Amino acid sequence: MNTWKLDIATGTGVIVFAIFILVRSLTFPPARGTDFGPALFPRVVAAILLVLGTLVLLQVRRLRARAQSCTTDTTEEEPTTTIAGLRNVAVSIVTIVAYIAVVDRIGFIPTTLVFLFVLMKTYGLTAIKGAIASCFITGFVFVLFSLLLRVVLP
Amino acid sequence: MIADVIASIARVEVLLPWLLGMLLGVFVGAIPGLTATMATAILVPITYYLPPMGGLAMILGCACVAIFAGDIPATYLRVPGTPSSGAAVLDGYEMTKRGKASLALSLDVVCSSLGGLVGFTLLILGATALAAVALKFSFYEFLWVSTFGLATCVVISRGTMVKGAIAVSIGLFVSTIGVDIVTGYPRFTFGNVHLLSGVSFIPAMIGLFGIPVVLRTIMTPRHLDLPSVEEKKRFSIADVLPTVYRFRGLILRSSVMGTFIGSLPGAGADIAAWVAYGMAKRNSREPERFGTGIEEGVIAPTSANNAGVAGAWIPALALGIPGDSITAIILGASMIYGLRPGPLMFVGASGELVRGLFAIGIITQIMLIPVGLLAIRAFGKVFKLPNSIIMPMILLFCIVGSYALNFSMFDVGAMFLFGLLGFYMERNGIPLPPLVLAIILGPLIERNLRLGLMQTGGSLLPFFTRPISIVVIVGIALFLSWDKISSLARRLRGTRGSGP
Repeated sequence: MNTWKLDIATGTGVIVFAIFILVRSLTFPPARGTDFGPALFPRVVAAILLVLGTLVLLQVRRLRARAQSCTTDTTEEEPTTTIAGLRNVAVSIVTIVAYIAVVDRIGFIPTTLVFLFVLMKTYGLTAIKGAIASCFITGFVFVLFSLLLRVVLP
Repeated sequence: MIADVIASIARVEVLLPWLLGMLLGVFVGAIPGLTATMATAILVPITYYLPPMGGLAMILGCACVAIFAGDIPATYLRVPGTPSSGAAVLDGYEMTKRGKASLALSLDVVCSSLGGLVGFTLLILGATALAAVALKFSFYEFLWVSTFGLATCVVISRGTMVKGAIAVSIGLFVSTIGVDIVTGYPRFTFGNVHLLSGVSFIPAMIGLFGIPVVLRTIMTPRHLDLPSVEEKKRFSIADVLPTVYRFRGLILRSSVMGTFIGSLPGAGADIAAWVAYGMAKRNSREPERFGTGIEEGVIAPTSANNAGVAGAWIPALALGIPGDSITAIILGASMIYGLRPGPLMFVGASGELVRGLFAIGIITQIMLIPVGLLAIRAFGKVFKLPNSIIMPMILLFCIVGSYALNFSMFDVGAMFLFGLLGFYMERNGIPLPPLVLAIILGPLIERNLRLGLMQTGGSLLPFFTRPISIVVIVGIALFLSWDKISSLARRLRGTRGSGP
């Protein structure tokens, strides 16, 4: 996707976000005895975001005009995204979400063992190497955090 | 007197805890999510079983080493171990990508050591005088110093200044989430109790820096068989000494700046590192090369952030006002041992502790080099494993590191969402460091702005008319417009030169 198309999304997103902050800040009550209540700073930030979002959109016009007047193809070369790459990302996101959802119920050690093994296998490691690495890393993290640093793991 | 000080610390019951504290500092600093503050807080109860000097050596050794150790994952993996290592990512990681990780980290450890030595020297020589200057800072000056830190970060980060400012603004918004410090009203919490205390910057930082690295790597499957860190040549301390000598002026300037900024209560090593980086870029003959992996980009922030640790002791010893949270904890523990901040700090038992603290600080900075080199080598071996092992490991450390802060899976969820946001921001050329720094500085800026306005009854005039404020504002303006001023000066020189 061209840079200017991404910038349109960014500029629009920033303006919408600024409006959301402004609207939400209208529900904040005024502070007693002072004009500088909880809504002041968010509104200042929202105003800055509105200006910045507008500037990004104005810059898009300039970038687009430059791209159209240029005779050579100036589209940036983007890294090729493969099906395998997208699969890796999808599996990773699902695995992370599942980990967060179940670790409290099942416990740190078994959940982490499965989490690491699934990811390593997805990324191309063999089952045996993945199993060994998962056990070692899980054990190391458990000893470091739980025993040495007294962090109470799930 | 020096002999007495050396004798008081050259004992097994001091040296052993000191070494253990430094080793703990390496782990704590190098693992994102674990903070030096956390390690210090854990160590304090343990130190009550030790003689006073042993306890002081343990926690001070841990804190000093942790600040350097945060640069290790920042350089190897682009994930800062501590907030003050955010600036080290810019050039350190680029050097790693070019196969020069050991060069970056060897330079880092030497400059950190030198920066800390300068800082502790300034502490010993000028604590009282520097504290007097720090005392003149009030709401208005703190507001501008924090703004200067953010402005530096925006200007020096990659991408346009507009996008850098967007990152700052998003970070400032995130810092408003939670209970308002002045009125107690919950802002943008949507009824979620976990958001009442706000969004912690540790999970945000881990997510913003760690998750995009992983996602980018796994999107290209052929990278997964490659080692996470590849080195064509192993650099040693001897290789970096000529560079250190060549940039001795930069090291000294960054260290002095870091010491001064660290001495401002609440400012901290984070701002010190960014301001030093920004000033180095501004004064460099090749500013366009910053961010591509050059030595100056590593030297400036690493000297400054270690110097900032020493700087935090200046108001702590002279006035009893700690410069940062770590110093607050150590000061509290030291006062139980008998340390008395203020004019009586050199009297009696307090004097012995203060002198011991100076000696421990200086020697720790020297010991930082061998300890740091061991850590660099150890972590370097780990990161030579293929990405198919390292990437899941990074994800696990991101998760556990975020969890360890408050023992809450909510923080882990927040970390992950920030990670996805960071991935989107990277794809759109919006820099990440300004967002993290804004989350850290946002509460400081808002508090000083509102309290200042309450004090003045709504008038903005004192924000712009106090002497120190004027100096900082002029500094910000010059910094932001330096490029235009330089090109105007060059054009004028060219016009004069082409005259008859």
